[in-house]
Amino acid sequence: MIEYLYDNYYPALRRMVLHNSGRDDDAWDIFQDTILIIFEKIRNDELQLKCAFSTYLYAIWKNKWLKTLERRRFEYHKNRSYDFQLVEENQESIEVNTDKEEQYLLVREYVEKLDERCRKIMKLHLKDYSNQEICDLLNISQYDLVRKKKHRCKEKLLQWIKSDKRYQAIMKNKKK
Amino acid sequence: MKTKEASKLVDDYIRGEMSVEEREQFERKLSEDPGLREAYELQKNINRALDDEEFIQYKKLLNEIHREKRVKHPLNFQRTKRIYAIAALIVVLLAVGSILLFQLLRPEHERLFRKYYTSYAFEQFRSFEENKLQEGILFYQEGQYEQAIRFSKSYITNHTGDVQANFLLAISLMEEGKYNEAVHYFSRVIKSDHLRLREYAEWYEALATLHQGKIERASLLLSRIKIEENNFSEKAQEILIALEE
Repeated sequence: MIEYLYDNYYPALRRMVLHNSGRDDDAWDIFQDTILIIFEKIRNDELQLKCAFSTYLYAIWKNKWLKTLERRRFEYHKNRSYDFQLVEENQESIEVNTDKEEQYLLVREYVEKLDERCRKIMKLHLKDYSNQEICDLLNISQYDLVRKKKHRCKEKLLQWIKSDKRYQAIMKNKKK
Repeated sequence: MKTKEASKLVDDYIRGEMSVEEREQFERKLSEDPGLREAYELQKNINRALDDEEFIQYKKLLNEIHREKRVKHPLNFQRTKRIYAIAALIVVLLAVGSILLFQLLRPEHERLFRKYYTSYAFEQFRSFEENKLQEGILFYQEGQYEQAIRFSKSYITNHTGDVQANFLLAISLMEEGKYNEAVHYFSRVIKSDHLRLREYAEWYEALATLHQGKIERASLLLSRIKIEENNFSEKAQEILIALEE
C-alpha cells in the first residue's frame, strides 16, 4: 500500500514542490508527513472519505506545503498564482482538519529528539516502573537522580513542544 | 491553572493515582478548563509517542521504500545529468576509438613517416637570414608554405643552382604534402657540396620516398644514410629494422 501511494503520488507532488521554491528534502518531508497523517487517521478510525482518495491526500499535502512556505516567511501572495491543482483536472477543493494528527507528529518529532536516557526513563515510568526499579535497570546510583532526571526530561520536552510555532498555530486553531 | 500544577494532575490521573472523588473532580475541570485540557491532550500524545512501535515501523518502511526507489529510479534531473554524462562518454570513446582505428589501419610506412618526420627549423642557419631568401624563409616559418613555394620557385628561375633556395622549395613542398616534387628539388641539394643541407636533404628525401610507399627505394636511401654515420644514421637504422619486421 505504501509503495502504491509512493509510486502514484510522490513523483507529481515532488515536481510541484520543486517548481514552487522547494527542495528535494522538502518534497520528501511533506509527502512523508502527509502519509503519516493519513496513517494516524486510519489508526484513530477517523478517515472518512467523502471524495476521491487522491483529492483527500492532495488536500492534506497542499495544506502542509503552504504551512511550510508560510513558516519560511515566503510571501504567500507571490505563490498564489501557482497552480496547485496538478494532480487531477478540476480537482475538488476540500478542507481536511489534520490538527490532531499534526500535533501527534510534532510530539513524536520532539520525543525522538530527546536523548536516549531521557526516553528510557520516561518510558519505564509510563510502564509503572518504580524509581528504584528504574535506578537498577539503568545503573543509576542514586534514587533521587531518577526523580530529578524524569522531571527535567519532561519539562524540557514540554518546553520544546510549546515553543514550537507549529504547535502554537494548532492551539490557536483549536481555540477558534 | 499553572502549567506545573496541571501537569501533576494530568500525570496522576493518567497513572490512576487519584481517588474516585479526585477523578470526578478532574474530569469536571477537564471540560471547563482549556489549559488543563491542553495539558491532558499533550501528555496523552507524549505517552503514546514514547511507546508507539507501530508508528516507528511504518515510518521506517516508508523511508526504506523512498531510499530503494531513489536508488533504482534516480530523480529526473539526476537521470538527465547521467544521460548527458553517458552521451559524453560515448562521444569520447567513439573519438578515441576512431583515432585508434585510423592508426591501426594506417600503413606501416606512413606510421613510420609520421613518427620520424619533423619540420625543418631554419633559425639554426643564421646565414639564411642574411641572404635574399629571408622573405621566403619567413613565409615558411609562419606556415605559409604556398607563398614560400611561390617565392622560392620565382627565386630559382633566376638562380637555378642556388642550394638554399632549392632546399627551401623542397622542404616547403614536403609541408604541403607534395612529396614527388619535393624529392626532385632535394636531389638537386644532394648533388651540391653543401654538406649540412645535403645531410638534411638525404634524410627528407628518404622520408618522402617512404611516405609515397616506395619501400625498396626508401630502404636503399636509408641504408646509405646509415652507412654515412651522420646525425640521421641511428634513426635510419631504426626505420630499416621496423620495415624488416
